[in-house]
Amino acid sequence: MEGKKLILRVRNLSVVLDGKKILEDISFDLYEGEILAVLGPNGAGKSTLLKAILGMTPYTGEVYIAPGYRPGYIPQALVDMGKLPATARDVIVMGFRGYSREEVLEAARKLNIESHLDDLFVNLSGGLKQRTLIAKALVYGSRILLLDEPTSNLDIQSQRRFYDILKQLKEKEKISAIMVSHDLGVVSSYADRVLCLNVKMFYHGAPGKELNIDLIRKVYGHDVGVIIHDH
Amino acid sequence: MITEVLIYGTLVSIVSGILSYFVVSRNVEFAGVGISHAAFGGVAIAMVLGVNPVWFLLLFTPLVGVLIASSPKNLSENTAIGILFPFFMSLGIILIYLSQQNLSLVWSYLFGNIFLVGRGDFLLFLVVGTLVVLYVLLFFRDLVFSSFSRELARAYGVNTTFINYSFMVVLSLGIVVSIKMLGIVLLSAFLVLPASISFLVARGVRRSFILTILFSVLMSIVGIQFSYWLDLPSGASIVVVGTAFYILFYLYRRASGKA
Repeated sequence: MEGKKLILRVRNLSVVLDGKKILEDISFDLYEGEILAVLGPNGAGKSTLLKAILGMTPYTGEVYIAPGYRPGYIPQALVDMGKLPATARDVIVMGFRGYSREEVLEAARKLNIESHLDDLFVNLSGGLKQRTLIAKALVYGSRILLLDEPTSNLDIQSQRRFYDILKQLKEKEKISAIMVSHDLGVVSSYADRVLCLNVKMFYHGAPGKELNIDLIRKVYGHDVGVIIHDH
Repeated sequence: MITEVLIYGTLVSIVSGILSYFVVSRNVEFAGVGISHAAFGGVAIAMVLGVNPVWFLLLFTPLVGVLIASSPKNLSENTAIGILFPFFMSLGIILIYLSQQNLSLVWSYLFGNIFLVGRGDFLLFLVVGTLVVLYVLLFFRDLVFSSFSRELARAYGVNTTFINYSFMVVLSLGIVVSIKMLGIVLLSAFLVLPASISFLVARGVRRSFILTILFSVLMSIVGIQFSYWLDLPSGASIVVVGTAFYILFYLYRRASGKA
């Protein structure tokens, strides 16, 4: 990856929880402005990989994040959300100090959510919630987005809007992302590189010819069907 | 007399309003119920040992709070409370039965009476109440963030374990110094009602926080006045007023098409 700045290096990362191997010997790099898709079946350790990078789960191995490139986390859904009547604006700045009104507005503009800043977060659609959490990561100063199955709860239109925004952030702001996904079509269209895992790493490289049905069957461990569709 | 009682009632309701905000937003209403009822066991143990129940509770209830917060992964907080709360209540009943204690004193802890609060209780409240307010001021951001979502707060570097344990301890202390006014049985309602009313009408973190404290103070003052005029138990009057507020605001919300 000549000319591109290395912003995240993961080496020999393993996670064992309650005596069970969740991840084993995972190694990859992430460069500035790059989207890395993580593919794998349920229980493959994809979400745990994101949590290990964030330091939310104990691991062995090495995780190096370049200074100034702190990651921002966008979970699949906030399953543990309390009853707080927080607005989207509240959520964006929650837990932070030293931010300005302009920073919040600028992030909201980038994510196209300015008109929803004073709406209750709980009443927002799945897509708007997702974009609010990305705006939060931007106000935090994140240069790496860790997205856990970001489109699994979104309709087709919201999915498309989400990927367009991600592409814009990548191209204009040089934001990088690690995106857990199940959608091979999306991976081929938007990801620069793919990491296929099922506890162990099966593939790490460009979403080219090597990412074929045989590899997918090997990763998923059973006979899977592939439906070709447009993105 | 009524002025002093109103001042004390206002101060206690500010503290319990602050606690109510986080009890409701963190979905730990049952913990409030559990800790306050477990305190009954503490009162009984103190009576049998012949020590001041309030001083004993200052040690005993935080331990119950920590016990609830440290419930193992395969045992939910609600299950832990569901086991601990009736256990300590039962322990209290057995100890009081065996020791043939003065039941009027037990009654005062169960249902509270603000008109019987002494200077020593007030001073203790001032110290503990100040600690509660300082804790919330110091950790307000982390408390709000972890109330919204513990997972997200953890991802952004909040020590949610510390916040969880420390909040349980602070909640327990707040409960102890409010028992004399509201009583063990009714205190849990005081920890739930102010924020529940506020969340019906308020939008935004700051606004709902301020409204929770205002509702708490309002239900306390109106309840104390009723109790004074009609010669009724203070704790029960406050809770009845608070419940009436809740019903009124709930109906208002329904009528305005928000529910």
